[in-house]
Amino acid sequence: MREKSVLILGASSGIGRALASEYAAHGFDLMLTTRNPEVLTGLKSHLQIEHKCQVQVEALDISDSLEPVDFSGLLERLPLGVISCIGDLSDEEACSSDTKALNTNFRINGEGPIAFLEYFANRFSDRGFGFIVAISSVAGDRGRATNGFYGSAKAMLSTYLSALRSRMFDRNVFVMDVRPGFVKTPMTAHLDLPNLLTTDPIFVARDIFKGQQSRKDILYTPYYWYWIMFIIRNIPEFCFKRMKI
Amino acid sequence: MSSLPSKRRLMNWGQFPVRSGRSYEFHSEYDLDNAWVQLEDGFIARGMGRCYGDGSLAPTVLSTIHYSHILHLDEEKGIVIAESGITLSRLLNVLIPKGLFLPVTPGTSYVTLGGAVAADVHGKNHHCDGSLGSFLEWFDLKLPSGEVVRCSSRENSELFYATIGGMGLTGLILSVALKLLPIETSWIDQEIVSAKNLSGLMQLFESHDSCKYSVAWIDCLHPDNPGRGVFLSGRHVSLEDMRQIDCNPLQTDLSPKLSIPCNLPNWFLSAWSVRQFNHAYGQIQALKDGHRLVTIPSYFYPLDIIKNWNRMYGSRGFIQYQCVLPLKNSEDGLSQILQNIQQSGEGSFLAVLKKFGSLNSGGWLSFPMDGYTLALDFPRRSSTERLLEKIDNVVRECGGRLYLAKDSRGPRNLFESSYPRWTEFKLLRNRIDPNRIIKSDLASRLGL
Repeated sequence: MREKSVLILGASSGIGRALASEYAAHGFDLMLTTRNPEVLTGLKSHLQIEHKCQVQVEALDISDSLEPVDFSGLLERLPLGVISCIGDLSDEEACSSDTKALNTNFRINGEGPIAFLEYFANRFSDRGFGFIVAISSVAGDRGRATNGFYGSAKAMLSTYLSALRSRMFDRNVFVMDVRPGFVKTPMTAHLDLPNLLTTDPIFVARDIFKGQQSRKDILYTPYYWYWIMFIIRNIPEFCFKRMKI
Repeated sequence: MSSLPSKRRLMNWGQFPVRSGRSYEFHSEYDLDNAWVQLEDGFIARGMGRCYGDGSLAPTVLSTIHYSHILHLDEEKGIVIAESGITLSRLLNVLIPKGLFLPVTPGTSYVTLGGAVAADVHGKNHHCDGSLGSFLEWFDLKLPSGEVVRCSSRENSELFYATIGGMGLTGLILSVALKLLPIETSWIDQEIVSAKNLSGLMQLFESHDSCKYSVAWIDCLHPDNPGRGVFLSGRHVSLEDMRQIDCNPLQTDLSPKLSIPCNLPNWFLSAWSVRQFNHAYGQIQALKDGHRLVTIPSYFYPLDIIKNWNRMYGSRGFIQYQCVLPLKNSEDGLSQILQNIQQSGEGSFLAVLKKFGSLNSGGWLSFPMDGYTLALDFPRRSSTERLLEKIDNVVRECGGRLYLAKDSRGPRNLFESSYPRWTEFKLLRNRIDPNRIIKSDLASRLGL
C-alpha cells in the first residue's frame, strides 16, 4: 500500500462504491470493508485494472458484536484517512414496536460508525495527521415524523462528529460530516423519491472528495440541501409539530 | 433487496412505448442470487435502455447498470472479460489508453456490453468484419432456472448462437469475454465524399469496399434528388502517420458536452425544420469534402456529445425504423422507400445508409444480411404508422427484415417471414423457459 491510502467502511453501499472509484481515480490505494467481501470482487478487479491501484477487501460486520474490532491485524499500515459509509434506512414501524430493531438501527447508524471512527481518530491523533469522513444524513438535522428513528441515530453521529472535530482540531486530524439529501442507491431503491431532488452516488462521491480535500467541516450534498434544511430547521416548533413531513 | 423497488415509468430511447414497471438493480452475482426468487413472475434484463422500442420493457426489469466491472484484461492477447452491465464508453475509457479498441461498435457508446451482445450490434465496419457476435470468445449465461452455463462456439453452442441477437430472451448474460482490436492511435482518417443521388452513394460503397469503416447520411426530403447524401469512410491512423502531428496518439474524451435538459415541444421537429436541417447539414458536409483526421468519439459517436438528444423529439417520442434489404433488391427497394417518404411529407431527421457484408455471426435472430441497411427516425405522429406500413410492404417484397433492437411496432408476420430461425428460437425457449420467467413486451408482441 502506498502512503496515499484510504479506508472505506461499508464500501458495498452505493456511495461507498462510488467513493472507492473516486479515490482510486485520484491515485489512492484502497482498503475496503463490507459485510460480505464476495460482493466487492468485481469492483476490486475493475479498479485494479483501470487505475492500477492496490485494493484490499476485508469482511467486517458491525452488527456481529459490540467488541471493538482490532484493525491492526487487518491493515498493513494505518491509512491516510477513513471514510464511514455504514448506515441503513430503518424500518420505522418495527423500531417503534420492537426493541431489537431499535437497537439495530442505533447500532448501524450511530454507535457502530462511532466506535470505528473513534478507534482511528485516536491513532491518527497519535500519528499527528489524517482525515475522518462520515456519511451522516440531512435526516439528522431535525426529527421528522416520517423517519424519526433513523434521524435520531444520524443526529447522534453528527453530534459525535462535531465533538470529535473540536477535540482533533489541534491534532491535525480533519473531520468532515457529510449530509446527503436523496441519493439513488440500493438503500433507497424501494422509495419513491422526487426526481428533481435526487442525485446519483457518483455526483455525491465527487462532492465528498472535493470537500475532504478542501477540509470542509460539514458538507450538504448537493449544496441546495443546506438551504432546504436551513428552512426546515427554522420552522417554529408549534408549526413543525403539526407537519407530518 | 428485501423490499420491492418502487414502480416507475419505464421507456427506452425512443420514449415510446412507455409503461410502468419495477426495476431491480444488483451489483454482484451474490445480490442477484438473492433477488432471483423475487423475479419469478417474469422479467427482462435491461441495460442503458438504448434500444429504441420495447425490447427491454416488461412489468419487471432487471437493471444491469451496476453490474459493470472489468474482471480481467489480457493486453497481450487483446481479450477483455467484463460484466455485462458495463457501458462501451466506460470500457473504452480503459481500453483506448492501452491501445485497444472494440472490434465492432454501434453508433453510440452508451450501450451496455450485454445489450450489445443481445442485439448482436453492427458497426461501420460490418462489410469487413461482421457483427459483434463474431468476436465473442465466450459468455456466462444465467438460465431462467437460475443455473449458470458458459457458452461459446464449442460449449453449449446452441445457447451461444440463440443468445447472440436473442434480445435477452434466453437468459441473463453475466460476464462476457470479447476479442479486441489493437490500435496504434485513437485517430481516424476520415474521408467525406458527397453524392448527388442514391445510386451515386451506392457506387461509393462499392468502390470503398476495402475501406474499414463506411457509412452514409441521406437527405430523404430533397425535392429533386431524394437520396442525395454524404459518404463518410474512415480508417485507423497508424503511429507512423501521426509523426508530424503533435498530440496524444491515444487520447480519449467520451464525455457529453451538451445536454438537452427537458423534452422540447412536439412541434420542434416539424417537416419544415427537418428539411432545413437536412439542407444545412448537406451544405456543411459538402464543404468538408476530402480527408481529415478526427478522434474516435467524433467519428463513431457524433451524437453522444449531446446528452439526451432524444428529447429533441418531444414528449410524444419518436420511432426509429431500421431495415435491411438483400443486395440484389437494394437499389429498387431503397428508392421505393425514399419515394414513399417523399410522398408522405414525413421527414426523417437522420437517415443513415450502410452496406452490410456477407459475414455472419451465426446468431439465430441476428439482424444483418448481405445488402443495404437504412435507418430512419420519425417524430411520432398520427400519420407516421401509415407510412411505416407502406415501408413494411417494400421490405417484405424485397425479402428484407427489421432490426429488433430498434423496433417498437413491426408486424408479427413480417418478423416470422424474415427471421427463418424464429421457430427454433421459440422451441428453445419452450425447453429452457416453459413458464416464461423471461419475458419482454417485444417477445409478447412477436409471439416469442
